[in-house]
Amino acid sequence: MSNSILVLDDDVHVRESLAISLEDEEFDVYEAGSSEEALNFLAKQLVDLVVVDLRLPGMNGTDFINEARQKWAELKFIIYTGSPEFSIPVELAEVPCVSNSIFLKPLPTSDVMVSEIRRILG
Amino acid sequence: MNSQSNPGRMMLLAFVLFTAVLWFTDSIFELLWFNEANASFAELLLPLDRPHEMFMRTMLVSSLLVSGAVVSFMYGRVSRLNEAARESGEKLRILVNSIGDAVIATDADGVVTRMNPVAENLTGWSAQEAVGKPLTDVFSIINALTNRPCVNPVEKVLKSKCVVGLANHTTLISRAGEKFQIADSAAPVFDKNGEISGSVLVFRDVSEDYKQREELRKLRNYLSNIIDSMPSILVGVDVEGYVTQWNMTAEKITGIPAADAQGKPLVSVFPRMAAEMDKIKESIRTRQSCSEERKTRQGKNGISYEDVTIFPLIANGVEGAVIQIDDVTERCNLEQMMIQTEKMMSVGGLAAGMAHEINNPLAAIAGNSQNLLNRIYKDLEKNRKTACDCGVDLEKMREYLSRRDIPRMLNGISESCSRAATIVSNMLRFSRKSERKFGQCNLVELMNNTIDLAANDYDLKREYDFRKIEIIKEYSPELSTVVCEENEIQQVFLNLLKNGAQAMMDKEYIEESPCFILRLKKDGQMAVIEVEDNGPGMSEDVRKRVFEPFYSTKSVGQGTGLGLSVSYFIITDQHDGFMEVNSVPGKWTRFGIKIPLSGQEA
Repeated sequence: MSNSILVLDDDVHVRESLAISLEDEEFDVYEAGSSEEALNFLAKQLVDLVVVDLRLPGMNGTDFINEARQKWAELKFIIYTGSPEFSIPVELAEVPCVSNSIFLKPLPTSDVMVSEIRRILG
Repeated sequence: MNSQSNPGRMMLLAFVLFTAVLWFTDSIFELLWFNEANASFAELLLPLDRPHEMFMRTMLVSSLLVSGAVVSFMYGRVSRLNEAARESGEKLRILVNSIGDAVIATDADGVVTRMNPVAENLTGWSAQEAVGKPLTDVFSIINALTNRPCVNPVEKVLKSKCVVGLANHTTLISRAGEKFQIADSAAPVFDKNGEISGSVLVFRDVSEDYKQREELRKLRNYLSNIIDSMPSILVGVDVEGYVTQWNMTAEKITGIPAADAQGKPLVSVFPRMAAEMDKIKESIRTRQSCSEERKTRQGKNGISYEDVTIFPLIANGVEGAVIQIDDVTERCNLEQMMIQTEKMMSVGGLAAGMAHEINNPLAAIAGNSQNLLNRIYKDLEKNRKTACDCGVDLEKMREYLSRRDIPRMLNGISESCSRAATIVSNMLRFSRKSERKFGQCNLVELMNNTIDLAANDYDLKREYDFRKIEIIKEYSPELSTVVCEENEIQQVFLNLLKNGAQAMMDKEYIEESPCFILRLKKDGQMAVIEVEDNGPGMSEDVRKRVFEPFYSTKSVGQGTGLGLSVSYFIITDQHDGFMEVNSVPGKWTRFGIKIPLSGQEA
């Protein structure tokens, strides 16, 4: 069975392009436009990994990760952001469920992210 | 006349009288005791009747008179001579005493024989006391500068038989210990046989002159010290443009000593002032100072800037001008640096605000153009299935798309997108202050690594082979490690190497070949890095703008115009260093970097 991934990004084009790339890599991909939407979705259907944008309307990406990892201990996270001035907050840097590599928009190809996803999911 | 002949005459008169008295006395004697004939006194006084007696008396009287005449003549003569001698001695004394200078005469052994009142005053010895004493007792002199006794001038005279002037700075110490600055000379006195019979020492109190001269000298020294200590070049010229003043800075910069420059035409010793001569003359004529700021000059180390000010000399009796030249290169560079940094900071602030907004759409563009390629060309099950469902032959469709250049267009989109991303990320470098890791870094290793990196750089290889460029390394062993942010410094090196390499591509080499000279050295507490290429160089206009963000001479698409300004920012803002560029168009370009060895942020 293929792994499932939730793409959390408020920019619809970014979200869709990433979703398509991941779909083509044979993942089950779901999309969410805000942290709240994502939490609701996860409550109904759990996934293996969430690709999180940090700057989001309403609840921001780091708060989302903090809340989600409390609820679902198995969930993994990858940060994908367009704001290079955001670095991983100290409290998340040491957390094993969050990838140490931050992916900065724009990625020339999705290959690097795909291989990181595969690595995290084992 | 009278006084001269008197003594002789007096003596002659005395003889005559004595003779008359003798005659008379003889007559009386005869009257009293030998008057056998009882003759009268008148007969006895004039014994005409006794020829023998008469003859004897006459003989006696005349011999007495003759010898008296001779003796008195002689005496008169001698006393006249004496008188003359005394008088001339007196005259000499008066003469010597009325001389305004001090005079001391000595005999051939250096013993004082005479001194005048002025000498008495100065030495503190009276003539009476001094005469007969050795000169050295009376006339004791020392050197005013060393305070050591001087050689007695009279000794020198007696030895050399020549006129001797005293050395300058001679101080006479009087008997009472008072000191006088004196100027003097000593001369030998010869007797008629040409033998030295003594010497005459003439001297004068010049304490006042000496004091004034000393003060003048001190004042002159003081003023020339002030002029020499000025960091500016100060050159004085007269109306004709001949040099009258040439300070130390002028000596240092031109390499011409003041003594050589004085009196020469300004243009001949300071050729670059040729253009200023009209202004100097105009300034002298109108009595208005005139100045020109930031005059550029091409020196052997690149452009330098000078402030030139001409001050006319309008004091009474002095005509001419003083030219002041200040090298303000450093200040200009610093100002330019600050302006550049300002610009970059504002770019950085702007970039930080918009990066997110631009990166999102770029991510969508990049992602989707890759998706498009994937869905056309990637060997995906879904691609085949969908094509089959639509009744399309995938290979045929791919061929069609290829023939219509669709993949190239998609690649174009990707590339443009990544270029835009690079620009944004470079702009962000102007603002990102956090997460910098300063550490000890070996610049030699870093430079060598960067050369390897440049040699393997894909972008560079595409246009030319970096390895064809000759690289001369001039690394000073003095330079050890430097505290810096290694990644950023490496980016600076890479930028400079890439820029230089690209620039050298634009030059056609006839005799030489493309060549980098890389220098690493130590200058005080700074590490100095120089990257010099023998490429086409750059004009002054380009040179001034080369660190400006978004300024580029490369054709559109070849460069972002941010490489050098980012480098500049890294060096000047983040490492508290200096970065400059010098160039001779057609010959070379040299980027110079200085960063503190100890690092400022560490």
